[in-house]
Amino acid sequence: MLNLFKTAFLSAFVFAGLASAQVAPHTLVPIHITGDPDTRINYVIIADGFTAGEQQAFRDAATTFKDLLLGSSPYVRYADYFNVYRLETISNESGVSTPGNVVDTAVRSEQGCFGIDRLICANDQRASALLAAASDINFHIRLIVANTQTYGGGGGFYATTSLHAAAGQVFQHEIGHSYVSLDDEYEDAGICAQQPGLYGPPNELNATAQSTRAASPWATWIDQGTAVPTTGTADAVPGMYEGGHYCSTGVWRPTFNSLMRTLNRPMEQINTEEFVRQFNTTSPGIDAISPGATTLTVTNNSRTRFQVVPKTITGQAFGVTWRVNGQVVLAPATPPPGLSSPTAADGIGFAAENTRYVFDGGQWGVGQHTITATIRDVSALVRNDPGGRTTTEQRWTVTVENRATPDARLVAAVLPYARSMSAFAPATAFATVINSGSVEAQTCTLALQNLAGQAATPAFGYQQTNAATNQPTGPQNPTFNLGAGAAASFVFSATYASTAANDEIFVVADCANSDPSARGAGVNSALISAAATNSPDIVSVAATAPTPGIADLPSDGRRGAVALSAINIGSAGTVVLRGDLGPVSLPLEIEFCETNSTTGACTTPRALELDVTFAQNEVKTFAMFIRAHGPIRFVPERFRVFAIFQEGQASRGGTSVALRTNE
Amino acid sequence: MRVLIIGLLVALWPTGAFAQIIELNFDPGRFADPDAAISYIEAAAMGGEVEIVSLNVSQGSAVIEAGEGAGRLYRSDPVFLIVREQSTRLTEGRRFVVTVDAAIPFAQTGQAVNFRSTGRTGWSGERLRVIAYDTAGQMVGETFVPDPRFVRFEAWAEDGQHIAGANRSFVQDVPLRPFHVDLPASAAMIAVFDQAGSNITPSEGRLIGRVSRGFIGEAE
Repeated sequence: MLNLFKTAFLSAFVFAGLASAQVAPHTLVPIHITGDPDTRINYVIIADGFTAGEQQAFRDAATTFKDLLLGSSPYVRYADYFNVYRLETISNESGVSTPGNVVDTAVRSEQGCFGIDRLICANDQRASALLAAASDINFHIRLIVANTQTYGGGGGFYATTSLHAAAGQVFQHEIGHSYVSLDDEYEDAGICAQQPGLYGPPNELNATAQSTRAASPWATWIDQGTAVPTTGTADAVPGMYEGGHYCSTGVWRPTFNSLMRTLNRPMEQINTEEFVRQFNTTSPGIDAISPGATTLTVTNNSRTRFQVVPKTITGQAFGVTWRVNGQVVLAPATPPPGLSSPTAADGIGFAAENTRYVFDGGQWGVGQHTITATIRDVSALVRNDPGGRTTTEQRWTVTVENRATPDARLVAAVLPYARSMSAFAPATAFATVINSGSVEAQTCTLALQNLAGQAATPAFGYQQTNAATNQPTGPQNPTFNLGAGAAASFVFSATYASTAANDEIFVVADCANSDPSARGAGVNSALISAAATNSPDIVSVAATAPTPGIADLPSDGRRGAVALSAINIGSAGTVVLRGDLGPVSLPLEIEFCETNSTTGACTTPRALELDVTFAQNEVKTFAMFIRAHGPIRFVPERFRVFAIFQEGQASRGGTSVALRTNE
Repeated sequence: MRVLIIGLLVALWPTGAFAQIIELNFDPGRFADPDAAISYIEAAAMGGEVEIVSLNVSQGSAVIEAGEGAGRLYRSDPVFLIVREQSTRLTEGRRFVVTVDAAIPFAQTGQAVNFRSTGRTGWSGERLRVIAYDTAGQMVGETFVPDPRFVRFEAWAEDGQHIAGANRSFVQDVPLRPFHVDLPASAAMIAVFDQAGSNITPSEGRLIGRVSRGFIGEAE
């Protein structure tokens, strides 16, 4: 089933007039999107104290805070791991509260809280309620921008800052605590007296009670020529510097002066290393897999293609090592640097290799086999990774059955992709079945299945058609034969007795001497909504060039375009046109505009979603713009982009195309 | 520790320090001598502890004990032609949403994860400690997640130096909102501890909720 609820990364959310008095009107706007938020580090910048007339000031500030983070080390190398959003909130009053002077703002931030002039505290209940209302995205980095030019801010779960030019530097230090759990490296006798020990003795990430080179948790970073204890003052020289975690003695830090010790400093090596490990932990290096099922049964003469989509760093993707039962079967031509060929400095510069592996059931034999695809963020930024956090792995368990795939092989396709039926009328669509095998397929029938491969809910009927005229011929629900290499076309109906929304059904062909045709969302499926009431019913098709049915996307970040045409054969209504990727995650941005049907030129601004009002029988045309942020292999039965016409949560129409990047 | 022993595998396994026994195979001509092989195997563990149980350079084989995650590291390196884990403690995980005070307090969100226990590091009080138990009451996982009520203040002078004494942290005394946490899929009951009142020195924390898994509203 299409994930109709996971649209946050494609959409701006607008909520107004909310029931909860504590939740101000707000709009979540994506400003840097590289993929599904479930697979990304999600950074949200939240407005507080900006009235309706001051929103542009917040938008400008949000851009500044986005660039501040993603433009600095170590974030800049991992920009494709991040999604960034700004949460525009409309406050009743401008500014920020101070003790004794409450300003009616969205998050009710207060400067001077806890008796500290420069501290800005957010009301975390209000902030959390806002985020919960805005989306279901799990935000990993949360920054609240208070509308004041006075210097101030704070850390914690919600970092806070002001519009003061210097305030942002504090935020970067605080992320070192809240995102990667680094310790402070500065000394403060008062605090040391209160808590002389480390939190997790003897070692924290960037503080240790050990004093020797051998016992240092960052020993691999200390050059042999560096004296221990280290007393130099040069930048970027890892060693054992006494003083840190508030205490001037008895604790050692890894570099002389990092951002965790003083503002306006680099993070330095050991702290950066933890950032890289955490980036890969939060946002693992594999964006998508195929097959989606991780347990499969295949025949002993089958060949099954496995695929992963690795993440990219600065435009280059990781290499993939494939193994069957632990044995290397496919590896990057050039072994990753730092492993067997330590030549590259930073892991940048090797393209995605071996993203696909074809498992031959006959070669491996009857029984159970484990297939793994392993990728690693090979970077000179990481020398210690005992937990393997920079490594991501996908595992499939494949059982090879002691039987051969029949010689007759079936595939099926359905058009149009989506229907929306009023008064529980039968939903009709066309299906085509092809026998790509070497013998005639015999005693064949069609069946309707759900996503799980079980019999689907609606009543089902089908009739063969003349492929040239689409006119039905022959009996209802026939049993038929299909010659080798031949195709047959059908019209089918699915009739619901009760309300359905977004029910994805699959037309599956099966013959006495074949396996059933596979199910593929957008290939041989139809997305059906049905109700007693009237609704729009939009039949749409997509056109691509130069290859029909396939969107060929540039791999350099430029957009590709797909033409859409739609007719509403239901009742008049207003729908939202939006993009969807089905059950997979791909590094894509999808936008739409309505077009002039003669010239193809956009007549509306390009947007993540379009509100479209259809009259009955009205035809409209659109362009769908797709931008890839990473490589997408050609897996048409799985990697597709859907254009969905949606009313509320129910689909009213839709179509899809396969997609791939040109490399 | 480097130990070259043949035939003591059973006696050595299991040990408490290591999560897995791993069998490695490499090209017999890959390493000139045992020291070169050991050095490479240790380096490939990226700082993780490795114990060589057996090594035969001429046959291109080694058996090692290593920590959790080492298998992935070795599998990412094609120099190791075969990597077989003879035991593993890798845990299938799920993402859960936890509501401390609700009828359905602890529900699976449907997202599969590889659960790895995490220790508490960083600023005391910053994180909630979450312990998972299975239906038999056995502890099956422990992890730490950010406490949304946590506030921290550090003051800085214009030259970027920390201002002495200006370092405070607080856990706001407000109800805990629902939060996400990765736990073993077998988790049936969890206990949530916060660090309120222990912002200076670490402690086991204060139990603020012990909740059971609910099934209503789960989405696969």
